[in-house]
Amino acid sequence: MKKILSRFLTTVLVLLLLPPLTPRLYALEEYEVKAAFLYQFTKFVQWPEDAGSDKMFTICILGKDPFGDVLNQLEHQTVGDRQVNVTRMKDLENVQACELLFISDSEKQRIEKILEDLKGRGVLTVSEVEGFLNNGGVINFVKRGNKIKFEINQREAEHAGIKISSKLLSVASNVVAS
Amino acid sequence: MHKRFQDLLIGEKLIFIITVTSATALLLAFAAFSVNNIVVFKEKQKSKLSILAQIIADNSQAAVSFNDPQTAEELLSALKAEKPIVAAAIYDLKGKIFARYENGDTPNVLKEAVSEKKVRYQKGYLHIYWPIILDEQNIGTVFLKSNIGELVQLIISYFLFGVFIILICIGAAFVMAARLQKSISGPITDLTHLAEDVSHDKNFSLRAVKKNNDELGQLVDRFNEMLSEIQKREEALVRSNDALTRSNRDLEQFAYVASHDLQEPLRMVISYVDLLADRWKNQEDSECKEYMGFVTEGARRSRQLIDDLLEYSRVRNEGKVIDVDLNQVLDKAIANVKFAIEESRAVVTRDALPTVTADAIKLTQVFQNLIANAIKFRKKEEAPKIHVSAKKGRNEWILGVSDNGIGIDPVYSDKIFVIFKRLHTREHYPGTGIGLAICKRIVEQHEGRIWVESKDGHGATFYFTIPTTSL
Repeated sequence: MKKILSRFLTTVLVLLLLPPLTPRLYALEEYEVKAAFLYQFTKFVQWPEDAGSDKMFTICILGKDPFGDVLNQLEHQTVGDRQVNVTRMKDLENVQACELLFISDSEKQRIEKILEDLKGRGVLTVSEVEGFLNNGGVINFVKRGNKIKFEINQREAEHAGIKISSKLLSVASNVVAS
Repeated sequence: MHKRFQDLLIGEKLIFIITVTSATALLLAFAAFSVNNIVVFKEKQKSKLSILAQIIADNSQAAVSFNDPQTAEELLSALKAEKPIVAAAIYDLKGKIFARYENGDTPNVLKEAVSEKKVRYQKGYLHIYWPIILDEQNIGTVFLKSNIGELVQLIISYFLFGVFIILICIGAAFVMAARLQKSISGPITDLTHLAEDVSHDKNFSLRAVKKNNDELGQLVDRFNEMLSEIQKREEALVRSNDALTRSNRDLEQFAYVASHDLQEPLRMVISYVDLLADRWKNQEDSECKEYMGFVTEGARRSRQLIDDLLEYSRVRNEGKVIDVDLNQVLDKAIANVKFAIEESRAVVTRDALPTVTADAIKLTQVFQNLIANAIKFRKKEEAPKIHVSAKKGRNEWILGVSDNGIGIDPVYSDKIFVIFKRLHTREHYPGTGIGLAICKRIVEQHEGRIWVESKDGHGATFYFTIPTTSL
């Protein structure tokens, strides 16, 4: 309820503050949904016990942040009994604190290298770059018509020690099986 | 119903009681069994559908979370395997349909969200609402609507099976009861038949056969004891009756012989007393004359008494018993006392009299004596009025002879029928007092009764009865 309300308030705020440019508005709606999905993923995913920090559940964004303020709203939420913390980063120096890492479109060029570095570190990698799963990413947002869907690389998830619920797999548009 | 039950024979009552009792017990047991099974079935159906709803709620968490109605509907379409489910839906938090499944019915449209478990029967359907919980948060609701055809079929099959079983069992109970009841009703029926035979034939030598050692056996024993007791008494009664009859006959014979044999010497006494009196009629001795008078008078009275006694003795159980018209009998009686009637200027009236089976000569004597009595005991100042009546009683004719004479004090109603009993002195009303005794004897020989109804000074009516059945 709170989540929906906050999303609603944000939308109203954005509508009031920004000039009515439709493409921009659509882009924002898209990232609102994606931000919500990021949070929902946490409910269907089990991380290895030694991953991330103990007190906070950290969602990291690598590269240019496409979410804007929307993602900050998640900091009011909890995953299990841990408070959500959103961290933006330029490189992978502090990546050991992250449970979930969103790799921005801006990192498209060096994505292979990034994924190579993250192998086996218990981080759930999410992106929106074509071919992300082939390069070793776990979840990738795709568009089906005007709906936002996602595909999952279950094999990579297992390599990373992450368990993904079959429920989540059932709603994925494509699954790379283990 | 109750009254009709009273009229049933014991055997029928037993069959009825046993059959009704067993049918009732069976019905109750079967009803309890059925109700229990139906309740259990309903609970099972509820829990089965609850589990189904729970599975769907669990599996639809992701679809709801990621706003994927298509996946949710794919999930719901798996319900095809469950034929009784006619409609299903997943609602979002506002109660709006998020995904639907239709199989002959449509899911309920909610006015507001349902956020708790609800399982209930409603209008022939089972409705289930089951919340979708993710991380302790309610994110939607699963709805299932199932028809209860199975339940209805179960109830119908229980009902049919119950009717079938109960009919069979009633039949079996009836057959069993019809066989088993004989051990109770049989001896009672036998005893009833025996009692009928005994009562009808007066044959007290019959005995019931004892078959059981229960109360019925005891009843048979006591019944037989009573029968032998009655038999003994009856035999004793017959014996003493025979003895009585014999001695009565002897007595009659004696009276007849005695009176008959006394007549001859007495006649001689009277003849010679008359001769003596004739010879001594000039005798001066007045005392001697007076004594002579007493002797003559005494002798005459003795002769009268002996004549009466002889007459009384002659009234015996012999003579012809035929159908006689009492009108003719009365005519004859009136003719016999014609002189007395004319002398007293008596008027005799009568009802139409019936024809009875009797001894005509004896009945003539009865009427004759009663009419003579009525004339004899008339009032001095009035001419006698005599009426002969006839009335049909139960199995008998009641004949009455009423007069307007001096009447009889009811105190003496019985005494007057005793031989030689007189209420009045010889000087007032002559006669030996034999008439009514003879009437009584004749009437009793006809198995009738005789009695008088009167008030002193207001006339009297003598009644006697003659049975309508032939003697």
